[in-house]
Amino acid sequence: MFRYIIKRTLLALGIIFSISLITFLILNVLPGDPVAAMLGDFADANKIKEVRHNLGLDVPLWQQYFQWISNLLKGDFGNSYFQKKSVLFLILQAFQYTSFLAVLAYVIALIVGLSMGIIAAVNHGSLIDRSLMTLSVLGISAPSFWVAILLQIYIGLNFKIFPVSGVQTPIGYVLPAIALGTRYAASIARVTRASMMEVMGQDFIRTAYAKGLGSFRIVMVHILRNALIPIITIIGADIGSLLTGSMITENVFNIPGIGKLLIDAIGKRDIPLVQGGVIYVATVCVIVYFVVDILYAVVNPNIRLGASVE
Amino acid sequence: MSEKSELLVIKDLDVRLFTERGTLPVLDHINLSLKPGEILGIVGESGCGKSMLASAIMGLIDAPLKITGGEIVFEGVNLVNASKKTLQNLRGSAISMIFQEPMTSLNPIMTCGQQIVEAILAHEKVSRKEAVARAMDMIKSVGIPMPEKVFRSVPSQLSGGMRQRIMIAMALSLRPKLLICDEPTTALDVTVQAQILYLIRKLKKELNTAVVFISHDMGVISQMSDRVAVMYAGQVVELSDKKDIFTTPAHPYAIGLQAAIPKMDGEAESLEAIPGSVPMLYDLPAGCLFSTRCERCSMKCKTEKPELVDINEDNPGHLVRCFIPAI
Amino acid sequence: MTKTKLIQLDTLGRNISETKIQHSGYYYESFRIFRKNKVAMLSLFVIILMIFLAVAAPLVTGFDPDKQKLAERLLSPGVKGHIFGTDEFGRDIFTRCIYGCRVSLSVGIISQLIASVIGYLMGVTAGYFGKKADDIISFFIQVFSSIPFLLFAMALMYALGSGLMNLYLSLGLLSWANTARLIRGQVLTLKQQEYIQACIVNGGSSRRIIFKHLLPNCIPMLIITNTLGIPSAILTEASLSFLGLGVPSPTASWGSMISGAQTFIRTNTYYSLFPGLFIIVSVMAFNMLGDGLRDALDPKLHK
Repeated sequence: MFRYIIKRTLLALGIIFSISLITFLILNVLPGDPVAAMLGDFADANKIKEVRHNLGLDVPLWQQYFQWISNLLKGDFGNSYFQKKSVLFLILQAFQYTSFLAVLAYVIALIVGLSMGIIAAVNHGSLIDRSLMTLSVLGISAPSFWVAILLQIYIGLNFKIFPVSGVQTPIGYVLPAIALGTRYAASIARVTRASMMEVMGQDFIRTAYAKGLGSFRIVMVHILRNALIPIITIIGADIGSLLTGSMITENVFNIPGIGKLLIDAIGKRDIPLVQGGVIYVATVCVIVYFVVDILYAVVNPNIRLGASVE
Repeated sequence: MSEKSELLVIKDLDVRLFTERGTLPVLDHINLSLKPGEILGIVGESGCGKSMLASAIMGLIDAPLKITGGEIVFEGVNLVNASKKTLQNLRGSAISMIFQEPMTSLNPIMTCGQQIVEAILAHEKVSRKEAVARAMDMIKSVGIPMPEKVFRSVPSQLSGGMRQRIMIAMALSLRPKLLICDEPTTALDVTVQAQILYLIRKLKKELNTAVVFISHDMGVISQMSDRVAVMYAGQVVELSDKKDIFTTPAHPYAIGLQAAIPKMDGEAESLEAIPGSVPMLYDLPAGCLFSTRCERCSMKCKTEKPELVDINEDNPGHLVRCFIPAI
Repeated sequence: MTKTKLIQLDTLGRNISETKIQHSGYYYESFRIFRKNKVAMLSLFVIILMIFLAVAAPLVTGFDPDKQKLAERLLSPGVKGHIFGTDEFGRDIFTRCIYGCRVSLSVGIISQLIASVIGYLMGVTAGYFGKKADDIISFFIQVFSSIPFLLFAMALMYALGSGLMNLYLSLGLLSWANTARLIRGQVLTLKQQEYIQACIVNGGSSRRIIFKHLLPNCIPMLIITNTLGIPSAILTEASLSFLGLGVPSPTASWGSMISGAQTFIRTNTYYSLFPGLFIIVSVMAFNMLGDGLRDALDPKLHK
C-alpha cells in the first residue's frame, strides 16, 4: 500500500508538471501576440514593449517558463493585469464559491444518481427501470447551461424563493447546483445500474441468498459495495469536469466563482490571471484524481492487501 | 416407511422455463425423499437439471424459471408456497448449500470471517463477539491452518480448496438439518477433492446432517451416497440404494454411466461412452426421453412415456423409469 | 492462446470491452444485428436527417440565417411564418437552428476523426513497440486523461482565437487519450495472436503489420469510440459557443443562440428552448447510435 501511494504520488507530480508545461505552451507559444491583443489595436509600440517587459515576456521562452514555475512553487502566481491584485488571492477567493457549488452539486448528484441506479437495477426490466433510464439519457444529453436556463424560467421565475442570479443567500445555490448536478446524476445512475447488474449475476450473490440474508442487506452490503468499486473511479473523473462545468453554470447564475473569473479574464485577455486560473484548476483536478485513486485502493481490499487478483 | 420420518419430501415437482420458443420442462415430476442424516446422491450429465433441483429446494428459482407444480415438503412445511420470510429463515440455518465454484462463490471484498459471522448473525440473536468466536471455531473445524489469518483474509488470498473449506464452514455454521452440495469438488484438484469429500462426510457424521450430494462423477457419488438418484433430461430415471444401483443398475442410462467409470481391476479395458447427447429441452422425444440414445429402444419407447416404478417386489425401493429394465 | 479481457466502463456505464477477431461476413453480421436494434436505427435516421438539414439548409428554409431585420425582432413562434419565432435581431430561429447543425455536426465528426487518427497512432505505437515508447505514450495518455477537457478547450480557443477550424483542432487534440488507451490494450491482445506473431517472426515490416493487420482489427473499436466521442464534442462546442469562445458571430451555433436567449428568459421563453432541443436530440442520437454500434460490432455477441 505504501509503495502504491509513493508510485501514485510521483505519477501525480509528473502529470501536474506536464500540465503546467502544456498550459504554458498553449498560452505563450501559439501564434498571436497576447500583449498586442490585450492592449487592443491602438496601442503604440513603446507601450507594448513596456508591458512585455513587465510581464517578463522579453526573455527566451524556457527562461519565462522556469521563472513562472519557480514563482508558482513559491506561491507567487503574479498579479492580475487589470484588477491589480494578486492572482492567487483572486483565485482563492473565487474558488470558495466554485468548490462549494461543485460539492453541493455532486452531493445532490450522488444521492439522486445512486438511488436511481439502485432502484433501476433492483427492478431491472420493469417500467420503472425503463423510465429511469430514459430520464438518465435525457440528463446526460442536456447541456448544463440549458438546464440552468430552463430552471430559471420554470422554477426561478415562478417560485420566487429561488433567485435566478447571485448567491447572496445560501438558497441561491440550489438552482445552480441542480443544473450542474443533473448530468452527473444521470451518468451515476447509469453506471450504478450497469455495475449492479453485473454484480447481481455473480455466484457470491447466490451464496448470500443461500445464507438466508434479507434482500435489503444483500442489495446494500453485497451488491452495492461491490458495485461501488467501478463507481468510485468515475467519481474522480467527474469531479474534474465538475469544476470546469461549474464555470458555465456560474456564468448563467452570475456566481463570482472561478469560472466567472476566468471567462472575464479571457474576455479582457488578462494573461497572468488566465494562466494562473488554468493551472490552479488543473492541479486541483489532478489532486482529486489522486485522492480518488487512493480511495479506490482503500475500498478494494484486493489492491489494499496486495493480494493476487486473477 | 411413514412420511413422518422423512426430513424432505419432494412430490411431483415441476419446474418450467418460459422462453420465446414456449414453455420447456426443466424438471419433470420429480419424486424424492430424504431421511435425517441420510446422503442422497444425485447423478447425471450436465444440463440434466441436477443444479436446478438444488436451487428449487433452496427456493432460489427466479424468472424466467418457475415452479409450476408439486411440493417440496421440509419438516412438514411446503417450501413451494411458503412465504419469502419463511424461506429466508430456513435458508442458511436449517437448509444450507455449498456451490460448485469456490473461486466465485465468496464475496471478493469481504473477509472470510465476516462472511461466516454474517450468516450466523442473520439467523441467531447472538452478540457479534459470540458470532466471531463461533465462526472461528467453524474455521478451525474445517481443518484450516492459521485460522486467525484466514479469518481476516479476503477470498482472493486463498486457494480454491481453502475457499471451499470456508464455504463448508459457512454452510455448517448453523448446524443445518439439510446440506445441499452442488458439485462441491468439480472445480478442485483431485487431491484436494478427496480432502473435501472426507471433510463433508466427517462433519455430516458429527452434526447428523442429511445431505443432497450432486455430482456428474459416478466415482464420487459411490463414495458419498447412501441412496442414489440418476437424473436424465429433467427426470429421475432410476432411484435406489447405492448397492443396487452400482451392482445391478436397471435403466439403460444408469448402465451406461456405470460402464463409463474406469475400473482398477480390469486390464486396460476401453471405457464405454454413451453415444449421442442429452436432447435439447425444446426438442424432446415424444416417448421415453432416453429413447434417442438407447440401444434397447422399442416402438413403445418411442411413443409412450414410462413411469418411475418399483422393479423388484421382493425388495422394494429400486425404482426405474423404463419399459424394458435390465434385471 | 490466452484471451485477455479488458473491461472499461465509460461515463455512461457502457462497457467498451475489447472487440476483436474478424471472420468473413463480420460486418454483414454486425449490420444484421444493428438493423434489428430499433433505437439505434431511429438514431441513425435522426442523424442522417440532421446531416441532410445541415447540407441542404438553404433549400429547407427561405430565411437568411444572419440577416438582421430589427422590425421583426423577438417574435413569438408561428408569427409571420417564423415557426420558432425570431431572435433579438429579427433573425428566424428555426433557420438558425438548422444552420447550427452545420457547426455542431462538423465539429463533432471532424474533431473525433482527428482524435481517432491521433489515438490510433499513439495506441498502436505504444502497444506494438512496447518498452520505452509504451512508457512515454502511456504517460501522455495519463496526462491527457487528467486534463480538464472544457478548461483546456477554453484555453486553446483563447490562444487560437474563435473559428471552426480551431474548434476541430482543439477538440481533436484534447480527446485522443481514451481512443489511444483502448487501442493500446487491443493491440497488446492482438500481438499475442498466432497470425500476428507469424508476421513478426517472418520479418514483416512494422508499417505493414500496423496498417495491414492491426488496423483492420481495430476499426470496429475506432468506429465505436469515435461515435461515442461525438456527443461530448458537440456538448463542448455548445459550451464554448455559449461562453463566446466557439464560432465567431454572426455564424449560427446552438450554444451561442442559447447565450443570446439568456437575456430574454422573462419575455421569450421559447427562444432558449429550441436550440437546446436540437442539442439534446443530436447528442442523444449519437449516444444511442454508439450504443447500437457497440452492441453490433462486439464479436462476443455474434452467435
